Amino acid sequence: MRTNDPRATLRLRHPRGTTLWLAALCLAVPLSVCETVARTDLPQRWGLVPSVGSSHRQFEIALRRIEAYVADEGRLDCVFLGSSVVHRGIDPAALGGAYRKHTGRTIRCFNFGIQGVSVATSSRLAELLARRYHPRLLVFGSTARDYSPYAQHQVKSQVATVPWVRYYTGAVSPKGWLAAHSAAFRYYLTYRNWMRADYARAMATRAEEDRYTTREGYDTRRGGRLDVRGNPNPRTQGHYFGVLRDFTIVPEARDGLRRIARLQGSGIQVALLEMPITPTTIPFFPNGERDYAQFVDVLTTTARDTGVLLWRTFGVAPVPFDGWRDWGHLNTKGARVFSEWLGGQMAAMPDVSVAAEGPGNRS
Amino acid sequence: MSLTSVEFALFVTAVLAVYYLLPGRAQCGWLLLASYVFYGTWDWRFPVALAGLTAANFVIGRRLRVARQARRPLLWLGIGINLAALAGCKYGDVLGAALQPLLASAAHTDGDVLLRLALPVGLSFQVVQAIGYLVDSSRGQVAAEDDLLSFALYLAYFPKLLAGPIERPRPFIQQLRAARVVDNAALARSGAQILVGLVRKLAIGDSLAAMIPDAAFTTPASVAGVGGWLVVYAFALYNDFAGYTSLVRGVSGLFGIELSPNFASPFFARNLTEFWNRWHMSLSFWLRDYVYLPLSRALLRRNLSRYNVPNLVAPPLAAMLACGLWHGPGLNMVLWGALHGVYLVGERVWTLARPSRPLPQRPWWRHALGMGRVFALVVLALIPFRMPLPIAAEFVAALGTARGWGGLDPRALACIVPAVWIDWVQARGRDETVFLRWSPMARAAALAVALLVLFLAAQRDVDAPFVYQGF
Repeated sequence: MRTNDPRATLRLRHPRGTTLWLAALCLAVPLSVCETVARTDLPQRWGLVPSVGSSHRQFEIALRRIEAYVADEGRLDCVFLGSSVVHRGIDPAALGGAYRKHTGRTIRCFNFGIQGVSVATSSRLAELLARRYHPRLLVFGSTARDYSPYAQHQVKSQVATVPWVRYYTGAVSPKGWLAAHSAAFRYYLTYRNWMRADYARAMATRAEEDRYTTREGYDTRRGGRLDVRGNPNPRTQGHYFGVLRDFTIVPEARDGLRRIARLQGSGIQVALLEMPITPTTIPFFPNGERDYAQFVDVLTTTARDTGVLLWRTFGVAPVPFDGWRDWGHLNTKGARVFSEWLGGQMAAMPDVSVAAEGPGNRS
Repeated sequence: MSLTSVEFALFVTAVLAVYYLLPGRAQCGWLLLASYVFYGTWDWRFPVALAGLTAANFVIGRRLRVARQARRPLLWLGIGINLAALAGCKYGDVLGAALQPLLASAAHTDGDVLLRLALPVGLSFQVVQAIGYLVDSSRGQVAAEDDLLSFALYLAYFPKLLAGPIERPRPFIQQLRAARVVDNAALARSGAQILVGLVRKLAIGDSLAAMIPDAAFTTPASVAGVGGWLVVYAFALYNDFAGYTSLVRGVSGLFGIELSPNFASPFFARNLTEFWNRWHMSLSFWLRDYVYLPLSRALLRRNLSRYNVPNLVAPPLAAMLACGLWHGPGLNMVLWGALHGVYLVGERVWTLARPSRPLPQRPWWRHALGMGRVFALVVLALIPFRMPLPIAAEFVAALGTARGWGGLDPRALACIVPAVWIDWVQARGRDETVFLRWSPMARAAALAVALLVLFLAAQRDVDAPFVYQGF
């Protein structure tokens, strides 16, 4: 029915739209002012911090640190990616020191290990890091646990589905675009949950984590010590047994690993790193060494098929018995020793510390 | 499909696009189809249950209109069927746990499938509307012709399907039969209602609800300032439900169908009777017409005196107890209803004992005192409304300590002040879309602020369903 039909339900005359135009003007003026101010250094002087809208605190801190790091250094030679085993296991400062000792050159490395991320989510992040920061070397560190069913969906919604992440990995959305291009919006995102009951506690925790994270992304708080010389006790270590109880290599994780390896080329070298575990961890797996061999097989097969470098560490990396915080993670001592060893391994590689052409390699 | 989701906005747009192209009678058919599809997006079994309820009530309603004898037993049979469905819904959890193994073995299937049919969202609202239809049919107040389509749409109309407003059959069905018009003014009015509804729900109600620590209503002794959190809860609940009502009234207006209002600035009420004329009006008017007045008339037939104790006590108490039971099966809801019943009885006794000037003639300070008293009583009654009795007792004990009365969180004030301001503007203008009468610049500024607030609210990691969908 036409709108001028007397029987029609919808009978509209062309509105002038004055209210809408005026409202657009009312919005445009203050928002422009906010955006202008947000692009100055005033917000930082006021102590405000930006966010990309993720609820994963450590991911947000890592992003802010890497932005600042690349801005300061002008380039990124090497970035480490993976879950908490990487975040707590690699100290880029110690690694850089060892590298300099072996080669006399400086290497600029950043630890982008994110607690709880699966291999599939890491592959999205690898894509993001490659596009945004163009590191010369991208090292993906993992343990067998990262390929188990348990590890697959822990923080996916907090990281991989964040519109900003999706925007930089090819899925454009209005919110992703805004987070990528509006400084004012990024500042608001940090405080978007101001009404939540746990807001004050969350902000305090964020501030504390922020304080203990080095400019290279490493968390320095990971002290503590677990004596890992004896075999684990299923009764007292029930959680770890539980995590690996149904161990199998999940296809999603295998595919994620391949996606990371395929980033090799166009100026980026990819390396896979088997993160260290103690021999006494093997009993956690339901089929012991057979299960662990499955994981090693995935790494070697992927490295062989895609031509990327693989660093094996099991029985090779010199982690002291008091270098463990728990059955899966290194403490600060273990991280330092392991990072120095890794720095030595990297020193043997073709030079990754030479800057790319131009003033910087950040997009 | 949540009413505040983008999916719902797209759904409404698609339904409207076809609706405007169809002639009158076909529009009703289309709306019925859309309503069942909408209901099916929650659970495919819900439309099946609704269809069953519709068929049963339609058949009984038809017989009620034509029956000359045995009308009363037939009416009670219909009411009984509806109440049984409602009881199944309200006691579903309790019954479910007990009957699950039995049903599973009897049906050789997953007992859960059978039980979940008893718990469709919005059933409480559908049941009271169906009972209203049966009573009105028995009184001859609903048109005598058989019109299954109109009746089915009366129960299923998707803007009001989940949580009301509770419509009366005659005015609603009359709107379905009349020509519906959506012109510029109606469109602006609907837009304003939708916008106010979204602001109330997303920016105010959800924000206030998110501020309240879980422990405040689970382990109240462990939280400081529970009294303040109770006040925050009152505003959260009100803005959630008032936001829902405004939103669905706006959506319905786009179809040219006006739904009943549910709220009229209830926290400005100066006595409890006035409060119930302003709070969840469609339910309180239903209770008035189908519980309070019939009982009152029956009692007055026995004793005409206004001072007769049963005449004074029974109707308000029965109506409010029914109100409590409608909200839920727990003793806490019974207590909430009883408290309001006692409030109303007390107010009636006081009014009879000390007749005072009519409300409009009272000085401003008496208005303020009255509002404060009503607000305090309503908020206190929310204790059993919000939590089971053992925890409610703990909560009351916590209120008795100095720790229970810490200051109100300043974040809450940032939401409560705008909420009260909206109420004040609407009450002063005696129109929920009073904003449309403002100057173009003021209107535009209000629209800009509303849009900005909604955009910012949409960024947070809080997602809360409408509270009354749970009833």
